[in-house]
Amino acid sequence: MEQISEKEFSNLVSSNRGIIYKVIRLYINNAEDERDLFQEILFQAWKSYPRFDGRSKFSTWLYRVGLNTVLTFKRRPALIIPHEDLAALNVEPARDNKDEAEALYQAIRELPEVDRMIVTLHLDGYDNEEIAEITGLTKNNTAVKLHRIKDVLIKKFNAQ
Amino acid sequence: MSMDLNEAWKKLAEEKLQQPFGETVAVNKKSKHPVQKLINNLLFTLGFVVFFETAFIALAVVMPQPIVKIGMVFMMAVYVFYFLINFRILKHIRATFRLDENVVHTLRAIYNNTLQSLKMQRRASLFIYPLAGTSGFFLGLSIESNVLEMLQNKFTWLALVVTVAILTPISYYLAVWLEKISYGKYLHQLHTMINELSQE
Repeated sequence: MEQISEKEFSNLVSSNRGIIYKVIRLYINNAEDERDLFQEILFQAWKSYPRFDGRSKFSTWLYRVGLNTVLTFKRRPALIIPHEDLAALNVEPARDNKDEAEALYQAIRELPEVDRMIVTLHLDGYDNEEIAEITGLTKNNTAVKLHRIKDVLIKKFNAQ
Repeated sequence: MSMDLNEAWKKLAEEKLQQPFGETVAVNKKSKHPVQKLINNLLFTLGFVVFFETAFIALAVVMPQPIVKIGMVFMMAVYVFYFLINFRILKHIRATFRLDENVVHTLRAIYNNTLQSLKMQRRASLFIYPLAGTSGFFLGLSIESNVLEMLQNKFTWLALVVTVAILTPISYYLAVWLEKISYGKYLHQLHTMINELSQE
């Protein structure tokens, strides 16, 4: 892909910025890291853009850059309290006072980072082949993993 | 996946995940990525090596005592070797550090690059610390006295051996400890993710 101006690139990213927010919110839980990662993803996308060949959609490509950046960025330790510890702390589970979306958010956040990535790509409508392309897994392995993750996620979701 | 989950996901994405957190879309020219920091460290190391290489050349010319000149020539050779190692690692990292590749490939490249760089530096350090200690010792002696005369005294040799024997492991383990603090947890995290993705 030919080099574009910073302004054109910013416009292109602006219309897909929801992807960046989503990736960050699924992995990060403090404001400082959120800001750092937002800038980092933009920087990495800008740096990599000349290699974007247009074979996949820009949004898919940006999703990949975002996930790679988040997963390889050294960040502060997670502050999320594992669900099993909530009871011990006498904190009410999310489902009691929040809606299903919040319960799903908690359930996804409790998954290992890699599983979180696979299931969110699936929930975003990517098929197994696209997930395999983004993650580097084989298509069969993606299907097997996804099946297992969905079982875990449904159990967590229903338990909340 | 049940209908509930898909609907909950849609709601979650619209109401929470995709809500902006006040950042404007502007390309930042600076990266805080650990691999970029590694690249910066390597560039700094290369600058450091060039600086000291120049200093060793100058000292080899200026210092009159042959034993000191020999020490400086040794150090020059060691630093050329050190420069080549670091330059090779830097070239490799620049060629493989791509965040638009698939996740497994990226994680592996970053993990291997980081590990390779740290291992090489550790090995090179084991070679460099004793030589640097010896050359520094001779240089220190040469300021006040004739090194060759001083080396006739076995107490000088004993002092040299003790200095090198103490400084080398201290410097080595200090470097290993600093490495562990800076990269240990991070490398473990990357390794775990690679394993998770590689499991069939």
